[in-house]
Amino acid sequence: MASAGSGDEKAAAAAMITLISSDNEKFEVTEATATLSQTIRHMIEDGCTDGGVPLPNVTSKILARVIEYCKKHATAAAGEEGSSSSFSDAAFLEVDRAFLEELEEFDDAFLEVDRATLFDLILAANYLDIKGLLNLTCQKVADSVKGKTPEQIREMYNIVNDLTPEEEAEIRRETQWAFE
Amino acid sequence: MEPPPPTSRERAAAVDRLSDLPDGVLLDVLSRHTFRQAVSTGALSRRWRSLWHAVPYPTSRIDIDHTSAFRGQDDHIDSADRVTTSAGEDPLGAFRLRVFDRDGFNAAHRWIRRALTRRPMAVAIRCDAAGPPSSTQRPEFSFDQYCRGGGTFTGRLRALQLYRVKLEKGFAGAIANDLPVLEDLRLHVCDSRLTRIASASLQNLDILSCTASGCYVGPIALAAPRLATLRIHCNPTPVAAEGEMPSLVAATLDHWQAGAVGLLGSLSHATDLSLHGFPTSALLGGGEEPKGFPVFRNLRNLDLYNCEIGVECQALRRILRNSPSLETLALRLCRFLGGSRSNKRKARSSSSGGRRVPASYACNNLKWVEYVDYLEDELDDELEEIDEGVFELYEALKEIPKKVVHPIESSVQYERRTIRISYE
Repeated sequence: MASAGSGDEKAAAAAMITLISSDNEKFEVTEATATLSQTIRHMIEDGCTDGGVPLPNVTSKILARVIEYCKKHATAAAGEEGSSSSFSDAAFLEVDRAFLEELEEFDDAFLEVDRATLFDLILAANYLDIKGLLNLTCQKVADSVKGKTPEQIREMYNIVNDLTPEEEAEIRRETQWAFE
Repeated sequence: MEPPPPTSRERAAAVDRLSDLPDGVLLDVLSRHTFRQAVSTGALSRRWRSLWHAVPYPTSRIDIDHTSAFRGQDDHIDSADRVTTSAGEDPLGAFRLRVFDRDGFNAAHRWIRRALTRRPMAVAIRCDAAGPPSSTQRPEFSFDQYCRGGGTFTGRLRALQLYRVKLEKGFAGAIANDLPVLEDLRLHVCDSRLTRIASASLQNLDILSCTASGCYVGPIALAAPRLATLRIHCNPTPVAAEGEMPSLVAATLDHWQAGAVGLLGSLSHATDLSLHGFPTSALLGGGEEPKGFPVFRNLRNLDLYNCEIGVECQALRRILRNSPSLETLALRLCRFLGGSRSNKRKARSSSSGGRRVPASYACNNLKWVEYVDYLEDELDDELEEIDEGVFELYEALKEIPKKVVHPIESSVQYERRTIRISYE
């Protein structure tokens, strides 16, 4: 016979949150998925999610991707929690590794997007305060400019050099050691 | 990693989405770079110019270069302050500080102190323009001034490199008592009054051109029973070993005085030796060593550079006799007389009366002997003397009981002639 407590938990797990994109599309997600976003977690804690959570900075296209990410990672987190009590250590480690590998593959595939989408995802992750997603996307940008000279980075990302030649020379003089 | 492809929209409008990201996000990106690369983004545009100043520093390592980026600029000094204070209390991996002169060093005291309170594993401090050795411009480094009460902050320190600073006698006490796990010590161009380096943990010691300015401080006594490699170069201060160094593998002594106090005798466990500028007397043990040139049971590779091999290769013969495991022997720009070349003929005639009895050497593993000298073709007389040297060398090597496979391979490059004799 199920106790009252476990019934409550089931009800909590099933609680759904509605997210509304800037172009007015509605997305129904579980609370577990939504609370990967610290921003939404705080809104839920403050009890102001009735009638949906409007996200005026996120388009439906990007929100769909963000939710895809959160669903996967929320499942992984739940799986880890569940497995820690019901498996022996060795089996747990095995499961853990499999989870991590699967998650890594997911993340790699997830990052195969064009640059505009990548920047949109960064902005969304920053706004929604989703640590994992921000990590992932910032690392992608960091990797892309690794070992590149300022000239190469400018060209790669269309950065306009608005420094006067004198200013640039001065900066380079000050930070000469960083270019050696 | 390749950057994600730009979209057609971006290409057309040449939008700079990267620079449009909020500061916090860009700092996140920059903090994933090496500090050096983060700093170099300062030259991208106005937007990026001072962004890197706020990069949270990786907690495991602190690099402060005060020579250019930080010199005299409040921003940069602030950045060094932030780096040394905000990075937390976690134990530090490495702390590297480079300052320009003594003023810079004085400004850096607080960074050194903060870094040391985080018990770093490696510390490197250099002062680039600290003047000549005797100069009052040399800043003094000692652990006492940063951490009173000794070794709690230096208990994890494994590697220490100091360049152009002044070391007072108290420094030796710190090494002996407060650095229990020190493995690597490099002292380069330091003004040093050290008379003793004693460490139970030290494995690698590298002393380059350290002088005691203004006063004579006898030889540095070295008591390091676990020493594996020793390099002493350009160093007029002799080093004398106290006790055995059974773990010693390789030694480079780039100054004959190092041998004059019998150091060579303490290196008898070495497999690799490189001796520079040793006169015959030093190679033979300097007369202070009652047993003469020590027996090097493990010696496999010997490199003699600019040494005096002695009349009739006297020193070389002794080395060959006392090095049964020798595999390679290089004689580069060596002289064959104890004295100068002008004494040569005299020396030869005086020694020709008592020719030694040929001795056989036990160098059964010998693979090759290499001989390098200058080709001074404009001086025929000189050339002849050098060739007499080769002849003497040949005479000495004749007594090696091994078959020569390639009697002589000779090549000339950069006005130097190399002769290699290979053994079976």
